[in-house]
Amino acid sequence: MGRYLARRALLSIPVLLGVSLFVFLMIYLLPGDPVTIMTFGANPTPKQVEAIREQMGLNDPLHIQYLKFISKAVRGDFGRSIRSNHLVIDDIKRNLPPTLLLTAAAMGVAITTGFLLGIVAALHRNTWVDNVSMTLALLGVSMPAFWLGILLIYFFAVQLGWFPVTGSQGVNRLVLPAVALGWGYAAIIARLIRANLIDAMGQEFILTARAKGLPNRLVIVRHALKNALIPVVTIIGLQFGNMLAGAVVIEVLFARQGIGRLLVDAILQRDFPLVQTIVLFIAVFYVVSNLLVDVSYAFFDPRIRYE
Amino acid sequence: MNIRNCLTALCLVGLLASIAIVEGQAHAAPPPTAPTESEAPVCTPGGKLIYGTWQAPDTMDIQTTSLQIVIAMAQNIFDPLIRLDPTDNTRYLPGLAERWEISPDNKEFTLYLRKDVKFHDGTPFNAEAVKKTFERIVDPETKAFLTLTALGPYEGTEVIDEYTVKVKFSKPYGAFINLLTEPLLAPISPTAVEKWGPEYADHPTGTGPYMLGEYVKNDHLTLVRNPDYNWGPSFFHQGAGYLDEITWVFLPENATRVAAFERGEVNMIDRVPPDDLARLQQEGKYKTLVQGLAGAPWIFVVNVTKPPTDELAVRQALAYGLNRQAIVDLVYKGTNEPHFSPLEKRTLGYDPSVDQVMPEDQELARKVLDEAGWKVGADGIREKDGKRLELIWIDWPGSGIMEDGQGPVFQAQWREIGIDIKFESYDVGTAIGAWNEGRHNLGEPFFYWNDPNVLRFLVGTGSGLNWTKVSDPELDKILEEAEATADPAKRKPLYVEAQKRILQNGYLIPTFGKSLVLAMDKNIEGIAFSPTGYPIWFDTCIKQ
Repeated sequence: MGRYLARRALLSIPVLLGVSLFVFLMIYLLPGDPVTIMTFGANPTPKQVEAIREQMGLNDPLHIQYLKFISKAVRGDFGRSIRSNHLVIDDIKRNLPPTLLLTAAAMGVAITTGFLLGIVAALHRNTWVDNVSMTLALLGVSMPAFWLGILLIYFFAVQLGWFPVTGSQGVNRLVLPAVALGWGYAAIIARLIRANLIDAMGQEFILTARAKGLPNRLVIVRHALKNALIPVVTIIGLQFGNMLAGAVVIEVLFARQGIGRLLVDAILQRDFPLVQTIVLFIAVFYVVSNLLVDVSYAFFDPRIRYE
Repeated sequence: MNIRNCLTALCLVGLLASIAIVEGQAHAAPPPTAPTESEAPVCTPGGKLIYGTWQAPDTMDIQTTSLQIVIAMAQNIFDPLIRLDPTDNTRYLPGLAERWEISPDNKEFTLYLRKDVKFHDGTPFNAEAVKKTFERIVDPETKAFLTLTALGPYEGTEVIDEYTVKVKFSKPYGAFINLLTEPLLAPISPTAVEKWGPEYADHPTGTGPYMLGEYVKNDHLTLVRNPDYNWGPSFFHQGAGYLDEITWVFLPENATRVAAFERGEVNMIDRVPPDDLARLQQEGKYKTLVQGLAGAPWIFVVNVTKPPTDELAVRQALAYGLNRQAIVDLVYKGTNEPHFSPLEKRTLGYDPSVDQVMPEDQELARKVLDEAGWKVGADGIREKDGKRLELIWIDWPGSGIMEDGQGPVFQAQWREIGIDIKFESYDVGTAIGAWNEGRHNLGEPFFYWNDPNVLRFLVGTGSGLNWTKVSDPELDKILEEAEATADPAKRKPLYVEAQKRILQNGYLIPTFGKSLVLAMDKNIEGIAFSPTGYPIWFDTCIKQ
C-alpha cells in the first residue's frame, strides 16, 4: 500500500511541473504584447510600459523567467496583483474558504440527492418511480448550472421570498448556490448508482447473501452498494475539480465571494499574476483530488494494492 | 454577464460636464439641469443606501485605478480642488481651492486653498498635501495611468506658503483646470499613503463627505458619513451628508442584480437591462433614470490610410448610410440614444450644430459613392476598377458588437448602399495589434475620458490611440490650442470647429451615447450627478 501511494504521489510531480509551465506560458499564449494587453485603455507612456516589463521580469530570457517563477511559487511568493496591489497569495487565502464551503455544500447536495435518487430508481427498476427519478436526473444533467441558478433565484428568492438572492454570509445564502452547483452532479451520481447497483444486484454474491437469509436492507447496503461504489467514488473525486470550475459561474451569478469570482474579475481586468496563480491553484486542487481518488481505489478494492 | 458591461472595465473616466439633480421619472441623456426650489427635497439626516452595481473595483487607489466604478465611488470620498457649476459647464466654482490664478501663458496655476479642511484621518489639508498628491502620481513606483495622463505635461509643484501652491507645466495646459473638477486629481492624505504603503489601495483617505467604513474585495464597500464635513460646494446643502451609510454591493450578473433589487436587498441598481427597464417602468413601483455620461460616445474609428477608406467619399458614405434610431429601437430599447457628435452632450465642446454636419441620408450616401466612381455590381456591392467595395471591421469581444446584436444591423444598413463589411473578431491584444498595424478599415475601441481633449487622443498626430492613422496638421493645431487654453468659453468654439472637421472628413463616426441606467426605490431623493455623469450622494436621502 505504501509503495502504491508513493508511486501515485511521485507521478503527480511531472503533472504539476507541466501545469506550472502551462500557467507560466499563459501570458505568452495570448497574441499580442502582454503589457499592452494588461494596460489596454489606460494609455500608458512607452516609459511606463518598459517599467512594467522590467518589474515583471519580462525582459529576461524565457527559461530564466520560468525558473524565477517556479522558485518563487514553491516558496509561496506569487507577487502582487497589478491592479489591487494586494499580495496575490492574500487574495487567494481570503477567497478560498468561501469557495471550498460552496463546493463542499454542493457536493453534499450532489451525494445525498444522487444516492437517494439512484438507489430508489434501482430498487424500483422500470416502474414509474424509476422513470421520475431518472427524468429528474436527466433534467439535472441537461440544465446548465447558471440557468438552474436563475430559475432558483426567480422562484425561491423573488417569488416565494424563502432565500436571499445575493451575498456570502450565513447558511440561508448558501442553499440556492449549492443546489444550483450540485444538482448536475447529483444527476450524474444518480444515474451511475442506478446502473451499478442494478449490475451488482445481479451478481452471484448477492444470491449467496440472500441464500444465507440476510435481510434485504443489509444485502443492499453491505454487499450491493459497496461494490457499486468504486466508479461512483471516482466520479465524485473527479467532480470536485469540475465543481471548482463550476463555482466560477455560480459565484458570479449569486455574487458570492470566492476564487471563481476572483478569477473572472482578474480575467476581465487582465490581471495576469492573479489569473496565473488562481489557475495554478485550481490545477493543483485537481491533481490532489485525482490522487485521493487513486488512493481510495486501493481502499475500496484490495486487488488494486497488489497490482 | 453582458460583455458590453465588462468592457467598461477599461474605461478611462474623466472629467467634465455638469451636475444635475434629478428627481422622479427619467429622461434620456439630459442636458445639465439645476436644482430648483420646488424640486429640492426636504431631507433629514439618517438612513442607509444600498446600491447594487455591476462592477467591482480593481483598487480603491484613485491614482492607479482604470475603472469607472472607482471614480464614481471616489467622488464621495474625495473633494476636487475646483468645482464645475452644475448649471453651466463653462463656469468653475471654488472647491478645496477657494480661488486660483492662471499665468497668461497657461503654464502655471496658483491655487489658494481652504484653511478649514481635514482629511478623514485628521491630517490637515494644506499645500504640502497637494504637492505630495501630484508627486505621487508622477512617481513611477505608483504606476498611475489615467491620472498621469490627466497631469499632461506636468513639471512640478511649488509650495508658496501653507495654503498656496503653484502647479507648473512644461507647456501650456489649460485643460488642467477642467481636469481638476473630477476626483482623479483630488488631494489624498499624505499621512495615509505613508502609513499604509502598498495597502493604501484598500484605504482611500480623502477630505470628502463620506469616508471608508468597510471594504471587502469583490463583495461590498461601505462608506460612512464624515461628521466633520463642512466644506461642501455652494450648490449643495451645508454641513455633513444626510445618509448615515452608503454601501455598494457588487452584483456582476444582470439577472441577479435585478432580482436583488426587486426583492428589496438593495435600494438601487445600475445597468438595468433594456427589457427589465421597460418592465420596471410599467410596474410603476420604482423610479428609473437614464443618465448621459460625459466624454466621447461609442464611436467608429475609420482608418484613412487603408483602401478603400482612404477615399473621402467612402468615409462620408459610411456616415450618411447609417440609421441609428433603427438600432436603438431594436437593441437598446430606450436605454440609449443616437449620437451624431464626437463629444457627449454633457461635455464641454458639445454643440447641437455639430449634430447636423453628417445627416443620415442613404440617398446622399449612394450619390457620393456614384460620383466617386463606385458602381453597383451584380450582387449589389459596388465596384471600381475591378475592386469590390469591401471593408474590414476589426472587432474585439469586449465591444459587445456581436453579443448585443448591433453589428449585423450596421452591416445590413451599409450593404443597402453597396458596401460589404467583413467582420474579424479577435481577443483584445490581437485587435489592438491589428489596429496598430492598420489592418482595419473600421474599429470601435472604447474608453471614457471626459475632457474634450479626448479628441486629441483619438485623432491627434502621434497619439497611441489614433487608430484612424490620420495626420491632419490643421486639426492638430486646433486641438493643441484647445488643450492649451484654460478659458472654457474660448475652448468650446475650438472644439466645435475640430468636431466639424473630424466629421466632414469622416475620421470618426459617432453612433450611440454612453449612459448610466438606474432603477431605485421611490423614496430616494436628491441624487446629484458629477461632471462625469455619476451619482453624488451628498445631497441624497431616503424619505421614510
